[in-house]
Amino acid sequence: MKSNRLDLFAVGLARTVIARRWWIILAAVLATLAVGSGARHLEFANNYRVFFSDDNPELVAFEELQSTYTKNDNFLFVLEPADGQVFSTDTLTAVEMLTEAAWKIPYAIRVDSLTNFQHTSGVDDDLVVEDLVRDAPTLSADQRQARRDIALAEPLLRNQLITDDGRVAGINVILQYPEKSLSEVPEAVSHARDLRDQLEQSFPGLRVSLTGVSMLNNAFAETGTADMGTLMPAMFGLIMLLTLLILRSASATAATLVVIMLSVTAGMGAAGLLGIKLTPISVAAPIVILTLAIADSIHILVSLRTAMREGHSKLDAIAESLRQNFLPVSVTSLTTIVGFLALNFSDAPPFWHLGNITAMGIAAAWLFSLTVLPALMSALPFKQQPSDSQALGERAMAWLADRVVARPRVILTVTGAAALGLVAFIPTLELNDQWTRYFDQRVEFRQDTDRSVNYFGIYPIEYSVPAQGQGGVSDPDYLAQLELFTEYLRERPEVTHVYSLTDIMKRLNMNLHGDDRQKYRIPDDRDLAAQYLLLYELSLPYGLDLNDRINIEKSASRVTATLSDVNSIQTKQFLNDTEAWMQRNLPDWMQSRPTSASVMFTYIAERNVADMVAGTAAAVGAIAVILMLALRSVGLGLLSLVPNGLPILATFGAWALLVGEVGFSVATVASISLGIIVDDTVHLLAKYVRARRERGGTAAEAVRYAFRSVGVAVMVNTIILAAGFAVLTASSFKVNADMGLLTSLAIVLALVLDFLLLPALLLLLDRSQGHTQPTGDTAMSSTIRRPATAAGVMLALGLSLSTLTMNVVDAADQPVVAGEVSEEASKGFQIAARSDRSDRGFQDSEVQLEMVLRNAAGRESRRSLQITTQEVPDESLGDRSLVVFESPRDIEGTALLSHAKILDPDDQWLFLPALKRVKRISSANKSGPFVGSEFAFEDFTALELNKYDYQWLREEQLDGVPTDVVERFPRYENSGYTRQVAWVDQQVFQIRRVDFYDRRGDLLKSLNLRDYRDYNGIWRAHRMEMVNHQTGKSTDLVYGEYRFGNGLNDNDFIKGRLSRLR
Amino acid sequence: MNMNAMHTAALALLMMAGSVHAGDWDFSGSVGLDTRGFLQEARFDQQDDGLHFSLALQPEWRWRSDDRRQRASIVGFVRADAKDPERSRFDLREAYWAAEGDDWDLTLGINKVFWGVTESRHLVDVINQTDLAEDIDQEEKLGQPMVNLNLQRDWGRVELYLLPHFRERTFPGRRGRLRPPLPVDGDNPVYRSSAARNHVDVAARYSHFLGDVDLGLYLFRGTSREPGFDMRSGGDSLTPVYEQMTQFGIDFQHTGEAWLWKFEGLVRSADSGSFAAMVGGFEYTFFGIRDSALDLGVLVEYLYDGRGDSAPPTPFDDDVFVGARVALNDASDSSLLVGAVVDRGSGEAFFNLEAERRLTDQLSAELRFRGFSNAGPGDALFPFQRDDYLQLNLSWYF
Repeated sequence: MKSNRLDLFAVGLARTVIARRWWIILAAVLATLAVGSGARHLEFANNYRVFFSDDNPELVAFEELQSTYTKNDNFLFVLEPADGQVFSTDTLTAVEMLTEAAWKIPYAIRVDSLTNFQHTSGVDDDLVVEDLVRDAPTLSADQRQARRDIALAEPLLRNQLITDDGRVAGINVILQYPEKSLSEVPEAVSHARDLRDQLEQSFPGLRVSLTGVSMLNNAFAETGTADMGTLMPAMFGLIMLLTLLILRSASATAATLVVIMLSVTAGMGAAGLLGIKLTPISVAAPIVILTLAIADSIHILVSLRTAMREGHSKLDAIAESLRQNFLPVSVTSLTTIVGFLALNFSDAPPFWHLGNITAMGIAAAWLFSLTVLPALMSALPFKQQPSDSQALGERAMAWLADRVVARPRVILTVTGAAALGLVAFIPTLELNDQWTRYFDQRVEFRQDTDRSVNYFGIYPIEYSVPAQGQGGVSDPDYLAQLELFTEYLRERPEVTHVYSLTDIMKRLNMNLHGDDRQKYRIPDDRDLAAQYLLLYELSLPYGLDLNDRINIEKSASRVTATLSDVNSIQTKQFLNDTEAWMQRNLPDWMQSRPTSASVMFTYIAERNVADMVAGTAAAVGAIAVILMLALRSVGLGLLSLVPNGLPILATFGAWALLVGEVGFSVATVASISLGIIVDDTVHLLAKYVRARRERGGTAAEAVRYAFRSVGVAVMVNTIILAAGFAVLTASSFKVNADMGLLTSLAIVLALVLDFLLLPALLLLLDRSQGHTQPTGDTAMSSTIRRPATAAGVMLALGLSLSTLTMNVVDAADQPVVAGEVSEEASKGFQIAARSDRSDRGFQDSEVQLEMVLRNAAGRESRRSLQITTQEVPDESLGDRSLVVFESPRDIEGTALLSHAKILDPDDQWLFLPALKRVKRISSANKSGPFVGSEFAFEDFTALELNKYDYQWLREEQLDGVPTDVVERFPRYENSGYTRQVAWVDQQVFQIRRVDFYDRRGDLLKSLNLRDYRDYNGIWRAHRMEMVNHQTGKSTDLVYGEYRFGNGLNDNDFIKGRLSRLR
Repeated sequence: MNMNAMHTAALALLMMAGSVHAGDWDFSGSVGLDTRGFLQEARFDQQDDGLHFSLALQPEWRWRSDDRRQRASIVGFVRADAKDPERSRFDLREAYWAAEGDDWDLTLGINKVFWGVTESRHLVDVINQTDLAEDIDQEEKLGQPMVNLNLQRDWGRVELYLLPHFRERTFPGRRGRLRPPLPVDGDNPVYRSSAARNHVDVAARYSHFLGDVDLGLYLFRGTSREPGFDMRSGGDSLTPVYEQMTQFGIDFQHTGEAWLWKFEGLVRSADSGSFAAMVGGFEYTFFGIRDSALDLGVLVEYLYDGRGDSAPPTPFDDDVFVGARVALNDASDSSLLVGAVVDRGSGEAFFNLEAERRLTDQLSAELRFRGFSNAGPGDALFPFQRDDYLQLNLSWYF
């Protein structure tokens, strides 16, 4: 039997470890130091962007906006004078001073305040542009009153840089970090704080709060560091104390300490070597490693003591302890690692880091607790104590076991009903995030932000609203629509301020009509409006230009709506309402998507929860599989789903009952607590199986044996781990605090369910009484007497998990637009984009096609196929397509399903009808021939706009048609081409010809596209002729009629679809 | 025979489906001439030496309704073997009616279902019985009567199967090669379940893909497709014994650029004991070697099977598979697959070569070589030790 082999191995391991103890300790320490030296590379990341993966669509859209306009990292200084008079000489002076001084903050590129606001007025036909307040100390009371009237009436200032009652002022500093060094943000923050302190000193009675995105970034790093400095030592101390109290042995405690230190050092060192950056979330990794290292050690130490009390010598007892614990400790470590690796399903990189660091640390803890720990215990003095608390614990366990064995039905009903009752509350959980609330009241950023939100909104939502063509922002029609949009936004109750181009245009129109109030409206004439803008821009000083409002080509302008103190549910409501409004009221060409840090955070919870539910479900399943293999029983593996999955679900149920809402932080609790929860289940089940198989006991006897042998250790672990995680609740960072509380809750619930529900289930399901052969498997196969029950429970679990996902709506994806480089590149991109987009909106298409392959001698062979395509509107993704072959007959029914990506390899599946086999295939063969033709795979799949960089070359006549000639360079990997030259006609924007150049840069192939037909605005070539100039072979594609809009959906383009093709 | 009743019922169902809705029946199929040449003299008396000729006919009728919501299929299979009467027979590979919606589909009748990802052994593929008389590579399957409901959800695909009738494995006859020392009396098996071949088997499978990973998990409960053997009828033949089992299976594939990492595993609890088995390995492809169209794939897999002596025997207890796949990617779809499975303990080995090429649009040729070596007495492959053969298939498609 395998378990016997394992036992022999474990005993052999123990003997080796004891014989070579000093070598092992030395080797472990040296190896750990070598890996641990990597820890010096660990640094704190201080940008909220680390919370988003590179391909997070909200982040991509946001960065795109920021590269078009200016960055949106900012400081917001909020000045509250004690007398409530911003327009007093003192306060105005303070505002002016700060406005000047703020320019000197490192990386500042723009400062906006009410003093440097570019006030315009009309004198005759001239436009006068000047600072609203200059030389504040010299202004008279009347002059100040005049400025006050202007400021409070100005829509660009009111409620943005000055409250509408004139009592509080704001100064906004925009920064652009080079993003080269991690010290940039702290450097700017330190300068800003100095400014604040100086100002408060010079102007007693003035209260200055400092907030903004840069302060948020900084707070993420600062609270993380604070947790490292305070929580870690506190937790360490608590755990060592508890260990000492429970084990009552200084040697055992010291040995445990060594295992912990080595494991944590190894985990963090490996993280450093891999270049992982620390964040306030991944900083929890050492705490998690430590708790698990303790769990492993305690199991071994408790068994060691029990064995000694039974009369074994210390060395024999060490061997016996390893024999008993090798399998459960290994399985626990493996399953816990799986649980933590499941964190990689999250969309937020800090959670990947937490998972990966912890997984490495747990692997180290597993190794060290099985080698260094026994080596140390054999070397250090360790005596068994007469009648210690452990004996008391064992009596308690025996008592508990009796109760469970006596009334399994009652216990199952009560605990099961209670747990399911809690689970029933899960659907009431609401996903909600509010990023300033990530920090508690002790954090300066939170205090300052709380004060600021009383006066000004803090959550900007950005819209880049496109106009028609270059200079289109001056179009009166565009401005009128934009004005409608602005008014709509201003009417929303949660919007405190709207910054829109229309206010500037209206003011300019008024100014240039001699400040006539009647003319405070959108100019009627496009040229006039353009002139006003030009005139205004010429008068603006450096740093205060319009580039943060209007893009360089003047083909789009930016509207910023600032929201008051709202949470993510309210934000989402606002975003949805606004999108609906836009679709109803604005023309197609003006549709725009919102971006900004708060939009990103609004969707992060949903993304994470959806990913994490999938990840956790996968982990629970994987753990069940590992247990099936380790315990050699399908039934017990299935059964493990209950005590492993239920505590997590019950914890969320309890949270729903107690708190009601979750942020993205707690989406990961399931994964974190899963590994620890599994520890309890594994140890109990392993002992149960040992009793059934080795000792041939009945289920009741086996349950008693399991309680007696591991009950105490499981209990001790729960106390230590729950206490350890409870320390995290003291963190001033909500993510860590919530995680600590939830995890403690989950661990305690797991203990309850493992002590009551699990044995009750075993007693009721594993009914074969009487003794069987001591080594037979038959005892175990009887545990699956009712696998249907277990499967039913599994299904219930799956359903509850899926209810979690059902609350999650997919966030809308954002389009990707290529960045700007040179004029030729930009023109090339425009032409390609126009060509590509002229095809958009077809939804789905179906076409029959014949492929004629011709070799150099002109010999033909034909194949016919059907191509179905589904358009994926998001330009950051490719379309999906299904190719089904009809002839030659021997490959009839063969099908190829592709999900095209932009730069990543496509996902492709092949369906082989003879075997009815669906095979996932690699798509790295992009340059390989498609079914023996002259078309490469990439010629079919690389039709997406963003797969290339472009360069416009020239205009040229091709077969009497005027065309633009555009060179394109593949951006994706594994292309067989260095470049392609495409002829795009200027009338209907379709590609007429493409030349392909191979990896050596020589002309390889030419493609001519002919017989274009117009399907209600969608153009399709019906004949494509590809000639290979190097081999003389050619391939023609002859298309039949296209059928569009066949009502196909995602499920028609999914792997499972392949098996129902025939 | 019961199977005939099933066939009739399935056909009747199809005719009904066909008459209710319009839509054309599409007819196609193939005729194949197989020539097998064994390289050594047969080990057992009564086995035939030399060239074995056989003919195969596979007619296929397929139908789909105009609204594409329903389809039906009948695929027959006839083999006529010149020497081994056990290989000469008729089977319905498919005879089903299916209806589908946007996110579900339901199949009633006889069909084939394949699960798995590895190449050397189709470990987790469990729904269909193997047509072992047809080929020893375990890729030829008998049609399985089923009620199959599939549900497609955002979080994956769920397949539910009700399998009301069990198909017995086919074996070469007394005169056939590639058989155990005693011929197998495949038509008179022993069942551990009192319901015998009418035991209703059930299976549920979940599968999904996430990024580069494709994953499938299933539970199967019912009659094991693999028989054990018993000497009953007077000691001159083996009687297959089919037991009841509960099996959990998993298949996993990670698709990297040129790397495919594959794993299949199962845990089976059967009357004769519990065990786990796995196949895992990789396929690495060199695409477009030296800028040509030629792809070369290298396959390495490790096979483990932990079954006890009382379970149905398998040669794959602790083996390594090494193979190569060459695809010319030409207009004739020429390809070559070579490989060997070697037992790590006994060293017994199984060699396989399959080369294919299309000759004309309707005619294809396939050449196979299968060889056995190093099998000592007591090894699983020992009976086949002298059954190395070369086979040429010519198939005409219509």
